[in-house]
Amino acid sequence: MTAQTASLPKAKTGYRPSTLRNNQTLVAFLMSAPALIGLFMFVVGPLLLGFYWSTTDRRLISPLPTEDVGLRNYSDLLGLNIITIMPERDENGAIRRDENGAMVYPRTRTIVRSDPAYEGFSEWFALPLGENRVTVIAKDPVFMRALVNTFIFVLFIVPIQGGLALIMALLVNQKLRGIVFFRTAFFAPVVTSMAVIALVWMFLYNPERGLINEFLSLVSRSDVRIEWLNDVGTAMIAIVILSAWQSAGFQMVIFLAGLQGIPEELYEAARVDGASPLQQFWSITLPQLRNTTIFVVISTTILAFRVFTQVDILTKGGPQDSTVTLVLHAVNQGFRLQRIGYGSAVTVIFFIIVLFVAFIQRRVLRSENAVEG
Amino acid sequence: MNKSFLSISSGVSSKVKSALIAAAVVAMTATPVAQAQTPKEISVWLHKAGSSDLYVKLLDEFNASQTQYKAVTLVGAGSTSGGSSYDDAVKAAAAANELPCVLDVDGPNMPNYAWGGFLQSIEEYATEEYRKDFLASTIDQGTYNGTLYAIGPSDSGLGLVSRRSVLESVGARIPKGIEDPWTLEEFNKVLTDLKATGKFKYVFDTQIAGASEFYTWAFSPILQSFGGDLIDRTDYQSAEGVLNGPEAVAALTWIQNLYTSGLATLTPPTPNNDFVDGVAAIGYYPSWKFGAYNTAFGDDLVILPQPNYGKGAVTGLGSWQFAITKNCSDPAGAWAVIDYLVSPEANKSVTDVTGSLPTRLSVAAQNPNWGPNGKMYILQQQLEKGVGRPRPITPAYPVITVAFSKAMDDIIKGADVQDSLDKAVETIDENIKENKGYPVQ
Repeated sequence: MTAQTASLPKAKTGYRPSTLRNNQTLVAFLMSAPALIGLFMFVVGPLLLGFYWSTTDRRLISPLPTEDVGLRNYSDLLGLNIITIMPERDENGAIRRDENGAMVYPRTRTIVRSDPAYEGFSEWFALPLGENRVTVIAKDPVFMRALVNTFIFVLFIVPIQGGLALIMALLVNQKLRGIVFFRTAFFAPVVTSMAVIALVWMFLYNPERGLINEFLSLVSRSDVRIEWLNDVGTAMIAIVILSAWQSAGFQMVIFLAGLQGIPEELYEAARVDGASPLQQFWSITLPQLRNTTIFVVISTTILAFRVFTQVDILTKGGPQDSTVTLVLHAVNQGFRLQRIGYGSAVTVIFFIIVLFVAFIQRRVLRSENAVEG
Repeated sequence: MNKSFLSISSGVSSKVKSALIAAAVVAMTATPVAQAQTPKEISVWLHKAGSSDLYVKLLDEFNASQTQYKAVTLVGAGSTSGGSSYDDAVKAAAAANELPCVLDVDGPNMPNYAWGGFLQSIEEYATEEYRKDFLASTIDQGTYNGTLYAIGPSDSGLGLVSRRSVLESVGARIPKGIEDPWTLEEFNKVLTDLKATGKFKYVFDTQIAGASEFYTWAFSPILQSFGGDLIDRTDYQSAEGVLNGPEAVAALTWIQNLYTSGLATLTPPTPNNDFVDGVAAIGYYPSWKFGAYNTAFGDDLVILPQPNYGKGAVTGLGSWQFAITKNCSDPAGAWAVIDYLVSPEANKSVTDVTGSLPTRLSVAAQNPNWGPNGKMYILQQQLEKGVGRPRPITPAYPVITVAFSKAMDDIIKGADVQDSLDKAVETIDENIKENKGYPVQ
């Protein structure tokens, strides 16, 4: 981008347009045509179509005509409100309590449905505030969960997967016999279909006979029966672990290339100065891997936002929406509930988020890098 | 352009003209000959399941049996609807106008496809006379808005399966037929008695592993037997009060208790096979698994009718059927394929291999398992005597099954029953409203 804009004014002032130059432009377009056609057909085209559909109520299969709905899909996705629910009181004004002594509140649904201003809202989550319950209601609580879950997934997977990849790269960078075997083995999950991996991990996570619980039982000398994929508390962790394992091999290869690009002289000089291996790692390897790390962090982040397959196969977003992600929500709404317009709106928001995060990351990491260089 | 074209056409000599006509005549007379040599291709899509190999074989036989048509078969992935890849592929193909001639559809999804306008009526082919040999439930399942769109060779039924020796060991009454199913109290007692024996890892194998459409097919009958339903069937406009009323809450609470009390499990050691392995004492029995059960237990095997949970016993029914799409330019050829697949001979081999319920009465009558002395007679009786209730025949079915499966999945994993059912009702009602009530087209 920068190279192009820099060279254009120069060309304009330097030469008059000639047939030769026109020919060159034509050739340039011809040569990039395959890539450009692909880009427009599969990226730009669908993107624009998605933007357009997100302002309609287009359905997948329907004899009903598609109508423009403006920004209704977006307000249905993003609609949020806060209501304070007071505990129920008996005729004497005392707070009613159930048999356990907990305060009894009217159901959120009853309150929401009694007020036309809250039409279409339902409970997302509630927090206690004194004796009241502050309840956040959303037009699409599942979308809100998907948003939060996706960010949690990205936040966890980037350091876990990046760290794992770096450790594996350091291990397979040793000059040992048969190291190629380990490189291949660590890389193998990347080229294996995620559907297959998800199924294998389904068995690993099985609470009764799964390898993971068996291993934990052995190590802790107790009977560990964690319901990995069926428990609200562990389902997302389970997804993060398997995803990091699956794709760390890809980042490992990038780190490996980075490691092999570090001049050997630096290590030699350090050894002459009497630096320990750990000191060498902190003072030579890590700083030299800076650009590689930036690439790994940005690419992992962008890829991580797209998490879908493993969730769709293992949990379908459950239990209780604890693993639903943005892409899964888009597919569920657009395809399975046939709401193409609404699903498109989810993907537009998804696009904006990824664009924004990638932009911020680039700015932050670039400026740090500039100081360094 | 226009001018030169005109000049050419006006300049065509009579000699050339007659040559062209002669060529056209030759071409026309040649066509039937060519057709006889290269039969017309009819594209067929099948969903991937245990039975797909058999259907592929049947279609090969169809191709060999005549020279007019050639069925070109594609087996897609995924067997269950409500979010399966096959169902996704069909919807995508429908949106892109790329559907095959003959489409394999899961029964309850048909009304949505028909409403969407991409199926052709098969009324003119499947005449009144033709339908007489079919189970009424099969014809009902294939009919939307008074028009028959789909027909298939197999139907399904649901009951309980156990071993005589096991039930007798706890003194349980063994029902003789559909007139005396277990009541809820009896069933609860049998379950807890069997658990108390300590001989089983868990008691009731509900076969839920990897299920989505199975949730709706197998568990909405329990909901209905408790007095609830998936939707208010008077006008199919709302599920409010039906899917989240007290009866529905009672039904789903009972189901939830199966899992929390250890009578059933979310994580079977061998998914969908624990009854056969002897790990569980009672199986929730889909008719298509008869073969495996019979091989495992032989004479000790007992098939029991669906329990009466309060408002009369209810069984699930329906299966995959075949329909002709709007894209098909040769519906007569498509019908020839379907007619072959539901013919008595094909019906017999399909049901022999899969153990599913034959849709042709003439075939059922000759089948030793489904006949009056057969082990599966109870399931046949359930369908014939009105114990079966089809999943709601409405274009809103895809959203109903997605919403119910999700609620069911959350509930058996510990979510609040009323909240989960309320959410399902909201999903369904909003969708129906958004589609303007799915007006009849």
